[in-house]
Amino acid sequence: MRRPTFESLSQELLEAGIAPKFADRLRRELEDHYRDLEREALANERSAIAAAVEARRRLGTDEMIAHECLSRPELKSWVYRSRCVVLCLRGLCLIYLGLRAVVRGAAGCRAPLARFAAAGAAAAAVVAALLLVLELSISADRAPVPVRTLGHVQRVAAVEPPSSGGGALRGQPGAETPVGELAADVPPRREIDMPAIDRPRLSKPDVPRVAMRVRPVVALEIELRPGALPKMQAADGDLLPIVKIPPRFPVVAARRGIEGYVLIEYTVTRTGSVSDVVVVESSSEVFEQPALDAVSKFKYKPRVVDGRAVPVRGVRTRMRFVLEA
Amino acid sequence: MAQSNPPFMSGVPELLLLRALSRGEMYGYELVKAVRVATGNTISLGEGVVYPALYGLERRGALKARRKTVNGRSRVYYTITPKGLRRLDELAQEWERISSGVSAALEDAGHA
Repeated sequence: MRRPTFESLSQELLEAGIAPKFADRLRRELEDHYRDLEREALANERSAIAAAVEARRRLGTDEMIAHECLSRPELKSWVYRSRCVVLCLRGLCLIYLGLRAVVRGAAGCRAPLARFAAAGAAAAAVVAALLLVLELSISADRAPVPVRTLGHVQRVAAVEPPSSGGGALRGQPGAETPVGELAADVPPRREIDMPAIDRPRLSKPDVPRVAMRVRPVVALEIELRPGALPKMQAADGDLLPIVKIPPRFPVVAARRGIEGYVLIEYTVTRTGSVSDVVVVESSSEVFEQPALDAVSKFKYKPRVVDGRAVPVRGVRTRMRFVLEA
Repeated sequence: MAQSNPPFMSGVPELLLLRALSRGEMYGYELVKAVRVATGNTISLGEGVVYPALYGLERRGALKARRKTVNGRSRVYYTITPKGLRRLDELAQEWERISSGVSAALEDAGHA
């Protein structure tokens, strides 16, 4: 089974201002640690796949590790820790360069009007530079929000609700969804097509291969519990998903032909990120971690009430893991 | 002057990491295992999140890190510094003080 590389985690941390020395070392240490955990699980007579899954689980999600890094300002690079100083220096350089150009131009003019115009231009340049420094200082305090591309979120279609019961499920038309009632303004149900996954090869596969080529599809449904949304005014904005990356279909389940679902509940914060993610119910534990990993990466345009972004609790997403021939 | 502690529970992993490293040089996986064994499996640190804690300690001068190759495997080993030993003493004393206070409060509550 292919080992994780933590490249994307390292890159995210670099973009968020973590010192390159720590971001790079973290990637290598996590890879080493993963190998040790995998070895430990194999020594405890786990299969190769189970060892890999356990090692990844014990290491923790990328989001947990990133959160721990970003909550420690001492890990940030010097430039990020001294942002105001750097911005002021930049501003002073701009002011100096602007003034120098204007003064040189004015020195060559003899007419009083031209000198007056040059002085006015110099004053305008100084004011503009100071405003720029002020704006950059304000925006420096805001944490950058990573935006992921929507490259693999594709066409959407209607979704059948799953039948009740656990284990391998196939959606049956007309079955009731085992969740709470939907809010009136929930967007229509959508399903997202996933490209066929690249199945890793195992030296000693201990599960039978799936006889026919199947395409794993993960369907997403968004629901809000009653009372989750505060009242809106006319000029307010609704909660709007921007990035909804479907989870990876677990290799173990794909090889065994297992389908299922996970119902996840979370809070959308004021910045549009996701927090307090919990699994409400699932048909099988094997789908839970991929679902949690995917939901943690969701991004929303936050709900705006009375001109202020507000957190929205109780947002639910149902992810169905379906194998389609 | 002792460093001020934020809400104390956030100092417990730091206390355990420094205590484990005071016994000798270790790398991340080894360190997590040592803490688990030393606490009798009561406290298990999140395996991946131990690294940001180690980097924070290193940045504050409590630890030193160096890459070493042992049995053909190259890993980063952490060693406690004198500053780290002083920090360990401070945290241990703080922990003694708080746990005595909590024990006294529970005993009082039991008698009340």
